[in-house]
Amino acid sequence: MADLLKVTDIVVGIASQLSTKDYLSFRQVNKEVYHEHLSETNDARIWSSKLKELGLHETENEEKNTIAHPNAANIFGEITTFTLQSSKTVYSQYYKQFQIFVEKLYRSELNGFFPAQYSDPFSQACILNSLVKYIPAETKDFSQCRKAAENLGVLKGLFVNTAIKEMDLAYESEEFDAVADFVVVLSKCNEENVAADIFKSRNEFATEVELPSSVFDLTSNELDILQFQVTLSQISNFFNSKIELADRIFGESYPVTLGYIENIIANNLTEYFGSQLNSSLDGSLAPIESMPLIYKSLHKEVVEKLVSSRNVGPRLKDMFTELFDLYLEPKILSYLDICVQKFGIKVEQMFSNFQKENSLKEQQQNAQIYKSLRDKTSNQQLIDEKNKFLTSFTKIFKISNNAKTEEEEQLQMAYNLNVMNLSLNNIQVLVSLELCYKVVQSCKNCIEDMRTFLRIRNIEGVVKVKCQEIFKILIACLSKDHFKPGFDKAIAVLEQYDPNKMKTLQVELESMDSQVEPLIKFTELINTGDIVLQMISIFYKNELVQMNIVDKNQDFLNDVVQAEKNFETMVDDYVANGLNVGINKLMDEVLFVFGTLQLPDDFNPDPKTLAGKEIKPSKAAVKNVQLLSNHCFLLTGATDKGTIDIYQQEIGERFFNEIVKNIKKNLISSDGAIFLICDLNYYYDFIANTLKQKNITPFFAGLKTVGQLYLVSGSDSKELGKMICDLGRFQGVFRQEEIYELVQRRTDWVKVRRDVEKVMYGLGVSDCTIM
Amino acid sequence: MNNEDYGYDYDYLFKIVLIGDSGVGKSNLLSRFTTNEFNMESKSTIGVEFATRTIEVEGKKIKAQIWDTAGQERYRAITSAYYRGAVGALIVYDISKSSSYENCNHWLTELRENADENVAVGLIGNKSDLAHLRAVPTDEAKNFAQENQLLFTETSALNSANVDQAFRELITAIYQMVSKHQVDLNEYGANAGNAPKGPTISLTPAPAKKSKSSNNCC
Repeated sequence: MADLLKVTDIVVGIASQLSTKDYLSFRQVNKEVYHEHLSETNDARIWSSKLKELGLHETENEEKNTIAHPNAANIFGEITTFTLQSSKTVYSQYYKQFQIFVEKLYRSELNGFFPAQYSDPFSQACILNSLVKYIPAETKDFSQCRKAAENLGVLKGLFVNTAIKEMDLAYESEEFDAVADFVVVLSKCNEENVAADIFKSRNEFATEVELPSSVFDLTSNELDILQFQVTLSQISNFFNSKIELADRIFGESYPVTLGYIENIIANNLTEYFGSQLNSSLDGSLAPIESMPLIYKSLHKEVVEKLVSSRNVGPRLKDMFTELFDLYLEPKILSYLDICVQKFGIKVEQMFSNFQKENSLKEQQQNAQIYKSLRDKTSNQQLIDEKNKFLTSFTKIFKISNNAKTEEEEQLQMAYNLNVMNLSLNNIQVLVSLELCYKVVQSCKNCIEDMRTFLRIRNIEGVVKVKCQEIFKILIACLSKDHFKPGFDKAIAVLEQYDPNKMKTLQVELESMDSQVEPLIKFTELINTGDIVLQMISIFYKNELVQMNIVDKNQDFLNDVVQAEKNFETMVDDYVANGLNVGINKLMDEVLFVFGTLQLPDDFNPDPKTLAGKEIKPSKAAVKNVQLLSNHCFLLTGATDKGTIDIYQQEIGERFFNEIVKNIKKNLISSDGAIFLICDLNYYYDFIANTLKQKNITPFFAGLKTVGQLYLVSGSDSKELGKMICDLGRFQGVFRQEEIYELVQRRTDWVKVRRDVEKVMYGLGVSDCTIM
Repeated sequence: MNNEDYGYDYDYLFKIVLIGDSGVGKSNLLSRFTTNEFNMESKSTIGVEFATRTIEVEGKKIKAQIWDTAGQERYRAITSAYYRGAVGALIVYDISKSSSYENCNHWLTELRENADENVAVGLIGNKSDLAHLRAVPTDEAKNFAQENQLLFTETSALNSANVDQAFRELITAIYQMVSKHQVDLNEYGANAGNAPKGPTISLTPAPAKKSKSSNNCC
């Protein structure tokens, strides 16, 4: 056994396993041990390793430790370094402070554990903490160490409990500085969580604040601004007072406030607003529709008014907002869904109401017409029947029966025409600019509301998609529920319109405008359509592109753009169809004018009256040009130049055909030719100088030369034949057969025919072209 | 058509034709006289155009119905139709283009062949504003006019110079001729208004005022 102590390593090894007291004894076991194995150097190493176990650092140079008289509470904070030489002295200082406590722990002397000098809880907490480090370093005996540690644990538990109790009392008596002291004590004991929990449980939202049971008007579901203001100021005041309190209690040392705030937002506020907004969608207005207002107000009245918090730091408001956005997100998302859904329903309803009102109005007006017509005719009928009665009984029976049916028929006819007249007048209101404006405005409001949430990065994408959906709904409803029925009906009415019948309308009602110009009405509709299209396009640019809801660079991929384009195409198609029908009707009118105003002696005047006949355009020509000029410029400003050109050229071309037909219907004498020429000049002048459509001007120039066919005297029949062959004269507009057909309308055709045909068919082809 | 349908605002209606080569300015002379307009870009006349203007001569309202024809018309049948019933004609040439002046003889011949023998004719040298380009001396044209008993004026439709005057002189000449003939006819007791032939064929006194105007003439 004694031999063992001759080996330095073994001696040092044993020494390092000993407590201070045992080590000091062991060192003195014999001289060899004392002087050789545990010489000063090795001794210093033993102390040094103990100090290192306590967490101190060895340095080369001696540092001046600041405190002259360290105590148990502060020694760990004050003496943190040592040199090898000073290690024994330094350790002895620790030993002196703590050994007494360790002894008590060994012996389980927990009562009166702290000497009087350590009566304040902070020092006690420090000592308890220090002992946690000191015991394993000093106590090398496992069972003793365990006992000391166990007892320390018990003591610490008691201590923390007492501290908590004291803190509670301090809360109770609102001695918040005392509370703050205990927070320090508890955090010294690593029990900050307990301190934070106590703060939370001592400052519960639910117990301190009673929010109004509802911020909504329960009948209208509208936000009750007054109540809402109360709610907001309650919330704001609560947060601000608690932020200040937390600062006072915790200062900057331990972050409590943010967790505390999150807790309240997550539990109390989310639940409160969740239940407030959670009502049915049955009513016209759902509480959740107030979401944007609530969100904005919360920002303005709560977030913006937050006091500064040392505990949280400068980012309090941002963090608050982030938390808020996070917990409200589900509600915001459901708001967006509902918003889109409700917008669709609302717009559909607006349009269907409009349709209903319109058809109701129409029915009433029709009924009115019927009644007025009845009133007008029945008096006459009464007298008629009386007369019939007086003639003979059998006759009455027969005649009155017939007369009655006739009367009925006439009444029916008058009714139909008057209804038609009314329908035409109503064309322009089939698409309501006012209604479209309202709907677009409503869409704008909706998107504006939804844009409130665009700033929340998490749901930015969703908000954009929802805004786009709203816009698509707008366009879909406009086209499906308003434009389509409107234009369909307008075109149907145009189709039914018969100018000739309208002019024979016998029983007319005074209140009605008998001068119905269907195309004029239709262009008013086109104009409305164009304005709505422009409105949509401006809306798209201002509300969707400028606000970054639609990426302008991906225009062509975007289904929003596609929807807008489809709508435009639909309107264009309707315009084209309607114009086509309108042009048909216009040509019917032109035909009617030629049929009724172009008199047989217009171009074949009686030679006796010829001298007094002034050369000026015929009534039919004047009326038709007036008709055309009333209609050709209707579209100006209502649609694009291309459409207008096509429209005007179509009218011009078809008018040309009607003129040719009209010439073929009339007889023209060589004296009357000048009157025809005058008409043809008048037409030419309109087309070339007023309408200014160059593509169709040659047709009318051709007509001017056709007029000369009739001017030539019958005695020049041979040259007439040559002229007919000279197709270049007629601007290449007519084929020879057509010219031949036209020339037959000369009054003296029978006389000149032989010579003309002789020239036409008797001469060689070359002769025909030389002229 | 009944005469009563027309409210006459004139005492006489004269048909006057404008003839001359293509491009000498007939259409612009006409538009300058009737509507005081001038069109720099006027195109060749297609067929025949009309315009009227009523002027007063010796207290009588005379409506001049002026026919403007295409200078390049090649069909004699058509030109002769133009001349039918004309009581006055203006042969127009371009003072800066001698060929148009040289053709006046041709136009005069055609006119004499087709129109009434008493037709009053004026020779017009148009485009007098182009003095620096003049190709036809005034005196030469004046002599030609004298030899053929034509009125003569140099005009500019562009700057209006003498346009009114030229038309007025022609209309006055026609009027004087007509009123003289009417006296002759009245002496024969003929019904001037219905006379289909002779010098007054197209001179159309307003029927309502006819007797009155003829009385005043003498």
